[in-house]
Amino acid sequence: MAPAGAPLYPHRTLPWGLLLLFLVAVLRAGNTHADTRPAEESTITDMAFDVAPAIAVASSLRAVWPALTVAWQAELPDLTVRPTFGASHTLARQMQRGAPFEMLLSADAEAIALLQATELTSTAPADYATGRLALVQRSAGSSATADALERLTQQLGDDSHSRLAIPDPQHAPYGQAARDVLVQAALWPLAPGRLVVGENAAQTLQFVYSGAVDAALVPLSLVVQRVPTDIAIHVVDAALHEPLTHRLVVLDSASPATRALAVWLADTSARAEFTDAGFGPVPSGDTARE
Amino acid sequence: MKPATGQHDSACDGLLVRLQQASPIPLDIELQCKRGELHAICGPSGSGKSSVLRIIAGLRRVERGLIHCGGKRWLDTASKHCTPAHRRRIGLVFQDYALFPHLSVRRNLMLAMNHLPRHRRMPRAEAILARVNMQGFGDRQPGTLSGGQRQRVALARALARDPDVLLLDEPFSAVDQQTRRRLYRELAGLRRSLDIPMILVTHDLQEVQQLADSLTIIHRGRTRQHGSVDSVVRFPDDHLTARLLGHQNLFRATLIASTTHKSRFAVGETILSGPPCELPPGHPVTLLIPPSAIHVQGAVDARAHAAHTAKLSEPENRLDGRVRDSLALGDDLSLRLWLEKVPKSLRFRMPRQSLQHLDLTPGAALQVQVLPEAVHVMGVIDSET
Amino acid sequence: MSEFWLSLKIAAWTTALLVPFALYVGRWLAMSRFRGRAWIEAALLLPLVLPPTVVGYYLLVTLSPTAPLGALATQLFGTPLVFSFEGLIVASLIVNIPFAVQPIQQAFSAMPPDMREAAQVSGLGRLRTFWWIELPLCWSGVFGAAALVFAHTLGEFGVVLMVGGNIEGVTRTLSIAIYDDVQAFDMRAAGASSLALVVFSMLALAAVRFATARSIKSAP
Repeated sequence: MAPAGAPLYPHRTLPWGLLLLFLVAVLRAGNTHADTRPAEESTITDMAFDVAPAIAVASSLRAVWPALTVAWQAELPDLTVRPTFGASHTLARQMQRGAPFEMLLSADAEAIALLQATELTSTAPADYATGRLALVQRSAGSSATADALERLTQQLGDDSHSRLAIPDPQHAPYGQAARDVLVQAALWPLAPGRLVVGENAAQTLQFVYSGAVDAALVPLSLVVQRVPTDIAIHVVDAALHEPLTHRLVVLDSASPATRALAVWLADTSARAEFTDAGFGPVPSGDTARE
Repeated sequence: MKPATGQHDSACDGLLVRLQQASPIPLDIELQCKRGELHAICGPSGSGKSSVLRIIAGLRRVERGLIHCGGKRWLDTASKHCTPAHRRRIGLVFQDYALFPHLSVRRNLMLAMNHLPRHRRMPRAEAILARVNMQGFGDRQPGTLSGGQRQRVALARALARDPDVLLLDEPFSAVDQQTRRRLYRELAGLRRSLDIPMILVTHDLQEVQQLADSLTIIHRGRTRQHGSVDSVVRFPDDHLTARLLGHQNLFRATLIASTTHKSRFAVGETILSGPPCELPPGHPVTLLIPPSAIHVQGAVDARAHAAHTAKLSEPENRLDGRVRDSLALGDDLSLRLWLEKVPKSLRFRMPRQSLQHLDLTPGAALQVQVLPEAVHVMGVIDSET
Repeated sequence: MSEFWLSLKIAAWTTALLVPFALYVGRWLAMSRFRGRAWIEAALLLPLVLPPTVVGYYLLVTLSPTAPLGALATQLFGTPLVFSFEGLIVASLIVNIPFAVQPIQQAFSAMPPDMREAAQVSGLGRLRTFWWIELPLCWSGVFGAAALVFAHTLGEFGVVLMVGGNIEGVTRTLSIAIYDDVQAFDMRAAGASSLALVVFSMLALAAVRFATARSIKSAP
């Protein structure tokens, strides 16, 4: 039966629990969580940037985002946004279901089309960059040529155990591009067990870094900056795959801050950052309109 | 307040219980207990005695029932009246004590005292503890007490409620023999000062004979016999009740003839005489031969009925047998005698000294004599098993 | 930092809201006997065995403003439940039901029935029996359930991601932030956050063990 001494009973711990709850409630009240939907101000000239809007961004832009932020803040100080990175398709679907993102920076024209089919946006989308594919290899045993395709063919031909990772061709635009490249090189389909499909581009890259695979085809923007020393990067010829059009669209409910950012991104002033970050130029005069 | 069904009992401030149901367990009970009386309910396991107690306490429902206690109507299914258990003033002592393990002894008692104003509770708790010889134990935790101590606290908690009836559910079964005997004495002493009806549920006949005034034998939910302890134990109504009471030496017989001062029975191949009997000749009966009726030929009998041996000039009720076994039990000897002509064993105990010069090795021949007027006759009932 | 507080708030609210509910349901399941009880118990255990994606999917479909239930909730709360803090609370509540109900139900089942009977014959009505006898005797189960729910909510990932959407300051909990950091190859941040999560979870689980150890000692 019960030991000597007072055990914890509700009558004794409940007051402390209630106190804790009260503290939590106070903390919650202090956090501005309710303002996910921006106020409907129409003073565009006012540029009242006091609420940081949430925007959806394709994950291939993750690496370039800090540089972009610095760049736009040089021209538009006080403009801060809360980016959520993810697969373009997933983000578009979330926005269809009411996610409070004001803009979608997509890597996939299809995702934009999804949003245009809804009533959420009536503005025309704008192309802001073109994606490039990179071959990432563990440099041990790399060949002399600089041509990515040759290197790829060599790698897969030489070593019957070498494995290649690509993003999922079914969901990711860069995955589809990777498959296009392999088809062009007459390497598709690979022998069973030779091809590893990553759930997203970052995971695909992780496979190479960790040594699980010997090579991968990933967005160039992911590897253009910091890269481990034993990794070799080669850019894949853009002619080998369908263009990876990065398109953005702004929702009708967007705040002036978001609109300003959209304008800046589609503008030539952002091009320098994108180029540095491993993107190609936007095909001129070719903003899709569907 | 008069009940809607049946007549109002004259012992109206005692306990009156009438219960009937078919399922989940069949019950057909009627019992009454006056104030200051300790009534035992006795029966084998599964006979429903614990259920009866819980129904009286209000912890279980019953299909049809009537319970009156202390002038209050607790249950009357006919008028759909049922006072919930916590509104009845019940003192229930559980078989496993059921003390609240997280509260001290004193708090256990004080929790049962919401009928008293707060400032009176502590002194009253101390007073009750003193009554059960547990003074000074107020701050102890139940887990640190021995079995006997816990039982006293359980009793104290039951009394703390100032109950209208005290219910004891096999309260001593979890306690060792020595403690049990001590608790019997204490309870016997305590009950003198309790002016409430008391119900004791037990399967131990010794307990009944030591503590109870009256007794109800219960079997499969039905009352088989009730009355004073003495009358029920010595004169059971039928074979089954006798078995339930733990009697041995039950012999099936047939009545040959009966006169005004004795009757004769055919038992196996022999004939026994017994007290007068009102049944028709040829009627099957069961004879109960209590140990007090047996006299061993050649034994030095110091018992009271030794005076009767003078009357036994006739070779009446002499039975020849052979010793089956003999077991020493303290100062007594427990004998099993095989009666060839019956044929069945006779069991009885006698002080060792009275048998010491007799040959009691297994197989030895021995003759016993049975006192006719001490034989108890029971009519056979068909529904026996 | 905001992710840490967000995770704590969600865990605290979920625990505070779920434990009273689980107390009621767990006690009821432990003490009543009726046909179909097994079905109800199985239904309550369902979130435990279903993959988070399945639970998240159903929640998303049910709580979306276009669905009838979601529309009702939107009216009640003012904002749609999907992609919001309130939605995360709802999702957390549902996902944690088995963690809350199970320990409490077991604690009440383990309580000897004569405790309640003794309380009743001592004059305690239902409410007072619950407060003075049942709750103290089952407290380790209740406390354990609370700690378990808290720890589990802190680490909740799949459902939160699907229903909440990883919106900074609103639905980006600590576990999602760790995932995000790994995706961005920011291992330093991921490591720091993971450590914080591990420490908190250890504290919560130690509290559970502490509570159950007490109950073993106090078992009759």
